[in-house]
Amino acid sequence: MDNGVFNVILEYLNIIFLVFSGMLFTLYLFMAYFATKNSIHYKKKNSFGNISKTMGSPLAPGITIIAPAYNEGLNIVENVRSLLSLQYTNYEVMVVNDGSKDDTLQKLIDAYSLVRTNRDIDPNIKSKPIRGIYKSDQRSFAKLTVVDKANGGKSDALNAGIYLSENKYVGCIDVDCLIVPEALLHIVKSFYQHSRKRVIAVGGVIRVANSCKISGGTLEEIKLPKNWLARFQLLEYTRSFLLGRMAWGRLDSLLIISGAFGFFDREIALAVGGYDTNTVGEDMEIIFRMRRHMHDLGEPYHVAYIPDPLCWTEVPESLKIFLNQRDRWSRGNLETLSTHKDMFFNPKYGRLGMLSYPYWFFYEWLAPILEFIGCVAVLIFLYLGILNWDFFIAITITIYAFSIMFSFYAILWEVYSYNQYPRTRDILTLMLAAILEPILFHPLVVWSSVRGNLKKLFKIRSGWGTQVRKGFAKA
Amino acid sequence: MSIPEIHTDLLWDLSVLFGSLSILYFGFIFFFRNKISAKARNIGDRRKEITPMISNFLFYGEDASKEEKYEYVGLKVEIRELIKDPINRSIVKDILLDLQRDLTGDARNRLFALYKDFDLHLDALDKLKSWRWEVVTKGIVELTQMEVVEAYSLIRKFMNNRRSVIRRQAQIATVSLKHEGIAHFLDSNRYPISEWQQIKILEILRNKKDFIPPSFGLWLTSSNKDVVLFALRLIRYYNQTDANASVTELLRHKDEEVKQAAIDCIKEFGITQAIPTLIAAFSRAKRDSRILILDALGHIGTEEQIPFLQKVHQKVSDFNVRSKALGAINAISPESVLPVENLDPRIQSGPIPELEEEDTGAKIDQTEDRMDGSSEVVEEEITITDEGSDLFHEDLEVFDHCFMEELNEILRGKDKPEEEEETGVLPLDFLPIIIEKPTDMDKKTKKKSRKRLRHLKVNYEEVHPDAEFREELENILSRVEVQDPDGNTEVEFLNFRFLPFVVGNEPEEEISEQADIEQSTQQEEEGSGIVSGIDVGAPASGIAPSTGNEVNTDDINTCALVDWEQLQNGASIEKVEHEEEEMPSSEVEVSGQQDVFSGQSVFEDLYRISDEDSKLILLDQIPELGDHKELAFLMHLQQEQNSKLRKRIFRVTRQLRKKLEEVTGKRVEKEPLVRWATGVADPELNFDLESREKKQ
Repeated sequence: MDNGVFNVILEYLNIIFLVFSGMLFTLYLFMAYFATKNSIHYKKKNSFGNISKTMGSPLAPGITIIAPAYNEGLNIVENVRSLLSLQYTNYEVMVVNDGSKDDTLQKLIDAYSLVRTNRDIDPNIKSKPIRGIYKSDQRSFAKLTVVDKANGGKSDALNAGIYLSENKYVGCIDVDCLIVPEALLHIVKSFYQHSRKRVIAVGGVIRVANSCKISGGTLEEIKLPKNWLARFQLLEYTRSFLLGRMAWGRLDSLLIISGAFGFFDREIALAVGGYDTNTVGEDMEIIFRMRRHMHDLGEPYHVAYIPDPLCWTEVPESLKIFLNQRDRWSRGNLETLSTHKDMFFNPKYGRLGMLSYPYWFFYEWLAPILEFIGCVAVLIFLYLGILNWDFFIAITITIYAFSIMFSFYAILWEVYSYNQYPRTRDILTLMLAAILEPILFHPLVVWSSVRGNLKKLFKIRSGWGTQVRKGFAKA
Repeated sequence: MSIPEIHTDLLWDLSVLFGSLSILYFGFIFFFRNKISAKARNIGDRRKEITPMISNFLFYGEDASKEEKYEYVGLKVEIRELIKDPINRSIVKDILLDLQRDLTGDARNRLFALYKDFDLHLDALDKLKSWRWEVVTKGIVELTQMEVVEAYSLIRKFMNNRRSVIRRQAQIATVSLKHEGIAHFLDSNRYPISEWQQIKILEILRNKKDFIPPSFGLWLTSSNKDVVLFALRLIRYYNQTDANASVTELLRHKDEEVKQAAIDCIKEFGITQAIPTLIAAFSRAKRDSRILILDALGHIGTEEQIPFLQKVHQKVSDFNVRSKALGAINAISPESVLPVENLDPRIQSGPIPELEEEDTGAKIDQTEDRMDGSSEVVEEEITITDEGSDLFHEDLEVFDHCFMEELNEILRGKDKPEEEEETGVLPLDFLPIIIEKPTDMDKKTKKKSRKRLRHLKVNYEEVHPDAEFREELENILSRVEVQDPDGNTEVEFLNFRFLPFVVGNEPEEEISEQADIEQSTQQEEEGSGIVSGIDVGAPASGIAPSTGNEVNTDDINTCALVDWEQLQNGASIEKVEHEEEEMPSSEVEVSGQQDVFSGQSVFEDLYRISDEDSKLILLDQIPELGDHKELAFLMHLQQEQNSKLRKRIFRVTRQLRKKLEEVTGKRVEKEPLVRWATGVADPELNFDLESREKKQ
């Protein structure tokens, strides 16, 4: 091959990157527009009335919060106590001990005076064997149910909870998440305020709680994380939840509800068979299936999204854990997209097939791979001495400027709508994170994503990994 | 091979654009932050200033002193001035809206009156004309929360508005503002009613005072499915059993939710006539409805339904439905189905085996009982009730009950027997009395202590507003066990009626005689403090030298309070004056000070600085608060050039004169002429009001 062929390949690659970037900019700008519109509408709409009055209504539906616990002995008692103190009357906290190897179950039994019940268990429940169901003999803990089962992973534990629940709605959360007391009222409102469409799932914002002051299960002071990795993630979450999901929510095309804080219509969740235990992206996959189910039924439905900060969680501060988490996310993404590939540009599924799915395919799954290929290509062209420096520098700076602009817009919107970080220093630090992120943090995300895809491609076994948390009680 | 050219200039332009936007956003971030914080600070500062004014205004009592009443008028004028500024107006409105959530009774009514008095409701009514949905909704919310019933007919028009937020708020307002609102809503609503809306409307109805619900059965025939569903839920909530036939008919409704609500009603009201329809509806019902039907049959069914339930158990595949069928069978005929799984086969019915341990034996006995007499045993469903949901409904009555139980236990000496033995003292420290700690109580001193108990010094403390509670407490106290130092206990039927149970809102007559005596003694002492404690040599400013007989401004206010109350109660002014004359010389100076203080109408200064609106408000307050001084002040004002004010002055003068006539019991024909320059009233110089008015 002579230099001429290389030049042609190079130029076409440049064009592909240019078009891809241009479309990305356009999509992001549209997202910013829809997110802004939706946020303003949400803010105005929810500025009336006091929802706390409705918490004891005889018409308020029952909700079961399912919290799978695996080796959570360190903080399980405090975490459950926090869950038991939510502002709502008709709810149940169901902790599913997923075959923990530590003393999680014993700590719960001791702390909440649990006794084993003789409740019948459906032998057809699609989960690993259930060893026992425990209830407290103290009235003050009557809302608590503990299910002890053989280890089967998070999805399996959640499925057991969904099957055993008797309430209309189920909430699937991470047991170590901090849920604000009025969260369930917002959830019920979201489920119940649509009169024409059936709300099948409700998701919310996940806020970063690293370095926040938490006492007795309540958030006392919101602080910016001290760790830079956590700061980058906070910025990423702000962008994703305040702009990305808000925009998809506006278009009623939300395809993912975070596994740390998601609520479902139990009937629909059961109808689709609960979570898929063969994927690590179960939170996204269940929404795909629920949406498809409703499309197939031909019933009008809606997946709601609440932008209010209702759930706080710790993000990984260790690089290794972070890379494993992102690796898992990309595998989950790929698994889900491949399972539902028949939806790709399928007009039968409306916006879901024509807009949401393609977006996820191109900009959530393919983008990091393309970025990686681009980086490799740059190195090769550099080595060959045929790199188009003008174009390379121009497009790099354009993307960099756009990235900073979009992050700044997310910060602006955070300040305008919730203003959670009152100290000016915190905002300046967040802005600095926005400037550094494309250089320091984004390559890590790209790398972990590529690694996840390679693992999937070469069928390298890799499970959930571990998340070592400091625990709110000690934060 | 031609390659399309890439214009890098475009990329550089885009970079500049994005960079500029980044800088712009950077600026906006701090602009918004500063704006938000400055606004919050400004509003906070203003709120700090205005909130106490409104609180004072709302919580002033009818029995307030004269100065307080004047202050009240002053405050009203001041607030009126303040709300001319739109920001202040908005803050006042927000404060009132915030306060209405926490207030009840008279203060709440006064708040609503104040809202209207400041014409804030007109602002809200203006909002209804806006084209922006959020503004209209805000207006409706405001009018609803401030209970502006006059706006009912205006808001009602929005009830079927195509914009959902406005429509929902208008529906809530319609139900809130008038009792008949719910009927109108159910009659005329053309849109679906969301579950959230139903929750909110029910919440409003639940909190409505004196609400007599209409017969919701009337709406079971509505063509709007949501109206039928809501009506069913309301029927169930209000226990209306006058539409049982319609409810039963709704088991055939196509909508599952309506069907389920009907089943709930049937179960709740025990409508046995609906059993055949329930059974008929079972086969076409969905899983959740089936479970509800079985549950209802368990509650209202008879043994006639057992074959059906057995059939369900045998033929239906769904585990939960089958379990519910068994549960229903057991509910109709208890223990007709017994558990079979996980049972120990070694334990069989027969002679009672030898027991190794008492507990184990008890368990075996239970098992034997259950195993007896049944060959077709299957697992029995154990339902775990969610007791936690009841926690919410606990209220004071439960607390009372628990308290009484605990009290009984304490008195029976269950909790702290050691302490009783050690001290031999009645465990009465929870009572609202302070008992002098008896020492060395023995049999000889028991009577003494009892006697002493009758002369205890008491602190009055609110125990409980409930008369029944008090009565029960008295009964328990009358059965108190008194324990002597030797450990012998005897039940003493002591008469504790002398104890000063001071119960909130109860007439003073109910306070025991002893308490009365002590209270009156105390009052006498306090009263004498007021009378004899006035220092003759005290300067007029009220700064008294530090002697034993000090008088402070509070004491003066107390005098003023008496004066005002007497006036309010229709006591004659002459009598008050007479009492003042009878006061010792030391008091005269204080009275004199008061005269100097009150000789000039407090309205005068306020009136002088007020604009026309405020002057009108001030004038309106005069008949309520004023006396002879105000009458003189009004006379002085009759020279007013402004015809509107002058008319009001004449009207107010007539009203005040009428009031004073009623107070004094005689016709006030001549009023004291006031020398405004000195502010001292001369009671000797009067003139004919009527003739002056005619001249004007």
